[in-house]
Amino acid sequence: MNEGQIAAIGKGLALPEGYEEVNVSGKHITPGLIDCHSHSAISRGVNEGTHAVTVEVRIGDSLDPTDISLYRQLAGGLTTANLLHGSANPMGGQNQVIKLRWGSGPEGLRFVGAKPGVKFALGENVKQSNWGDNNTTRYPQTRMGVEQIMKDTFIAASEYRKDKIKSAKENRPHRKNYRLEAVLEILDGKRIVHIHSYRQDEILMFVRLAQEFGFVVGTFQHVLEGYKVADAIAEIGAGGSTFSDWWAYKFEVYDAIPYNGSLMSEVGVVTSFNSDDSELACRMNVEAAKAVKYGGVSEEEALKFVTINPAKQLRIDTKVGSLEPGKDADFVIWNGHPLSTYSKAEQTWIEGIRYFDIGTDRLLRERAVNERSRLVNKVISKKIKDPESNLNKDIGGDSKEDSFLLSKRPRWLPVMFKPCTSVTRGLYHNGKSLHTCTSGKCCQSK
Amino acid sequence: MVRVYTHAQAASAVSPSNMRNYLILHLIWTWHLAGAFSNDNVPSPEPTGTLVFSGAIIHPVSSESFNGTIFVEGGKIKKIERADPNRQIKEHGSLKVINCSGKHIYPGMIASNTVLGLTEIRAVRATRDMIEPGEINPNVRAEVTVNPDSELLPVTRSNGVLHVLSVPQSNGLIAGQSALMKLDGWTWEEMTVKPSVGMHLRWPNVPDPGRALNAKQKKALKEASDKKMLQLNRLKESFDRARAYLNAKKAGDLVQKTDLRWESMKGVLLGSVPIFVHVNRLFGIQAAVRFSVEQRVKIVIVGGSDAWRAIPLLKKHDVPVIISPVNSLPGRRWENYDTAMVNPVKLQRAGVRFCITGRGGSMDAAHERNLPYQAARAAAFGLPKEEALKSVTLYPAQILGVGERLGSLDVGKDASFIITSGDPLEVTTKIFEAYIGGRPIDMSNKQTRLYEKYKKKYLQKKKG
Repeated sequence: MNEGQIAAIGKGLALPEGYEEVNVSGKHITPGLIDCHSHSAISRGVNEGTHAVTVEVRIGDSLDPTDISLYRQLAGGLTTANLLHGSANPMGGQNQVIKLRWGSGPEGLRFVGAKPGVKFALGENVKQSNWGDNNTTRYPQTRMGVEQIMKDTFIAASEYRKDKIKSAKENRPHRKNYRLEAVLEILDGKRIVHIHSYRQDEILMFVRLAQEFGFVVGTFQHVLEGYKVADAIAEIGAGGSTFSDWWAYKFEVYDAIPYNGSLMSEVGVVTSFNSDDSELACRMNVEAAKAVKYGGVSEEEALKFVTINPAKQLRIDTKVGSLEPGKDADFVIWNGHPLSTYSKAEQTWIEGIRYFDIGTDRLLRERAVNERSRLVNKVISKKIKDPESNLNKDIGGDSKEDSFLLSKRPRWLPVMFKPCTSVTRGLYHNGKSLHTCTSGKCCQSK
Repeated sequence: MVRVYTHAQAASAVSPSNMRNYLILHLIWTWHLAGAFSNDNVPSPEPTGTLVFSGAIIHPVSSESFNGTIFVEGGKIKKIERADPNRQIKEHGSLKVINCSGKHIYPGMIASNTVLGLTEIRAVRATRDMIEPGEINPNVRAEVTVNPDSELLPVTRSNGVLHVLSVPQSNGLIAGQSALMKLDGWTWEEMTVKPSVGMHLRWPNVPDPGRALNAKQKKALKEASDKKMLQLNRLKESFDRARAYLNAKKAGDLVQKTDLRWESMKGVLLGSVPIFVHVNRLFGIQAAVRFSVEQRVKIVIVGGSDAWRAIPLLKKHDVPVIISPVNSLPGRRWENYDTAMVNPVKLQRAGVRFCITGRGGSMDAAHERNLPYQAARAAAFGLPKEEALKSVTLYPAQILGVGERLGSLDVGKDASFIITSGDPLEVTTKIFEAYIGGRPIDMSNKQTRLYEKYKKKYLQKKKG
């Protein structure tokens, strides 16, 4: 690889001058895994659930690059994720495709050149079926209403455009409507739709809607009854981004089957497995193996469910998703077969940079442990003596490392170690910070 | 699906003038619901004669694997023989031979913390039977609400999970008593392997003090800690009252009215039924163990994500841990990414008794079939493979008090095993057949039936 891209791939390649060799003999290398449905690294507010239509809001405006789950997912071989708005309303917000460039700022996470998209949703979530008895008045409350509000919005956008053109012609000022501008991007094919869907009726409805208004559906998300209407999904060239085997958590997923992926794929739908969960995103390779188990997809095809297929769905397959010259050097080094439950990622690279390395991770741990005990010792050695700290000894010893944590003092009381060296505070502080403590009993100046 | 629309019609028909119609429709709906949420699998009859499973690679779990033959009689393992090329077992009379050459036999797996049978679809309130209101419910028992026709059960067992602990949930303290169920039978009575496996207790949790940054959060923290103290007092009080009640009864106190709650705690107080404390954080684990020592009752920790931090304590009091789950993000931001995955190997190396299971929440009931992959993940992070296999077979059997009957392939144990293409802890392994107490299991389920149905759709389209 060279400058973040794969320069050449093959057997017996000579080492060109100026290249460094990394020995990974005996290991497996796969493309970096791609999760087509994630809510990680979103800083508060996955849902703008106030209105039924909120196409103007952008997940890309609320990225949190410090979300530790990014690092944990890197440790599971994930390199790219599609951060989606939630499913609280039929026409939600704009998505943000990211690369897991841990350590960068919010701008550094963005996948430059990814096709802009938007999250729409159908079914129980948008009609608030499981929100309790108080949420029964926001339109829509049925799948009938979901179709109509979408139709209405697309027509409103078309008419808004006509009005805008007319105003321009007549030299009249025209108030910009960010919501409808975003809908126009969808109608113009500049923005693709990722549609949260479950049941076959709503999937078919949305296929017809896409045909009527001529917009592009990137993926049907979840699409757990996709296997029932896979031919219709294939007809409009949409992808299917589904769970490997989730089912029965709400009524609309009672007919979900783990064969969904293999059936859709057989009928010609570009299919991927997604996580929709920060933990599951740490082991997408094992999810892919379930396509082999259920429906007999070949191992090579199954791996595509978490690599090139989601890349195609997100229109980033010219850059990532497979190991080919000219593509981004995003890859994972595994200690065993990538579809084996016993394997784990040892290194994860993005654009030629090693973002996760199991050896480095070990060193960082040691550093953190040492630093922690240094700080803890500094705090407790002289200033604070907790007479109760040995109370646990009567029922069994505890490891030395955690002696600080093991204090019998009620842990729910706020503990504030202020770097205030001139003050020693007693155990039963009044809960305020040292500088403002007024009890007079616990804080004594030296 | 048509049945569901019946309900929609019923709901829209609720007006005073339509009330009678509504009630009629409601009855129809209820009847239909029973039909909609029940599986079509027929349990096998009681086994008769001898079943001989020949030529298999046998993985007893309790010892090394070998090529051999298993003889089953009366639902139990009668005999296990090592392979002998000179000996051909022929079918005769009531002896039936099942050729397993090239296949593997493993004991059935046991999920030790689930709500299987207690719920069908979490989001549908009518199908939820796992939580009673109130804090002290020691007398509710899981087995009586297990629906043998739940569609979830055939899906679970078709991946080799043949026994599950059905556990009542709680928003308070004492949730109720769990039961070990086999996933086969016409009724919950037939399915119950062991009632009152444990009395389940949710240890009250208090948020981390480090997260209380402002006055509002501190107030909330204070309230949470006050609530916890109250709850712990109530917990202790309930044990005291149960003890006093049982003493009074024993002494022949005629004034004492029957109280089902305290009656049901007899086993716990006598030491025959352990308390299963659902707790993850270190301080909770310590407090729970301390509580069990004070109360002189047996304890099992369920959850136990911090169990590795309490190893000396757990060892000293021989407290087993049901690790639930392994596939989990660390509980704290600063913890290592593999904290949950290395918890099992740490306990194993230290000699703490443990087993592995899923999260066991209401969202997880439908996904208990993935139990083997929880154990495999622990193996990927250092737990020896044999130990990983034991952690979902023999170890849960021992911790749940059925180690004499289940969990390994040994003479005298239940003939509850699976016939596979290989290691069941690998996703790609096929589970061909399963036997529970010598009865062959129908491996089809709602999902395989829907698969077959819709494969036909596309075949029809191709032909058309």
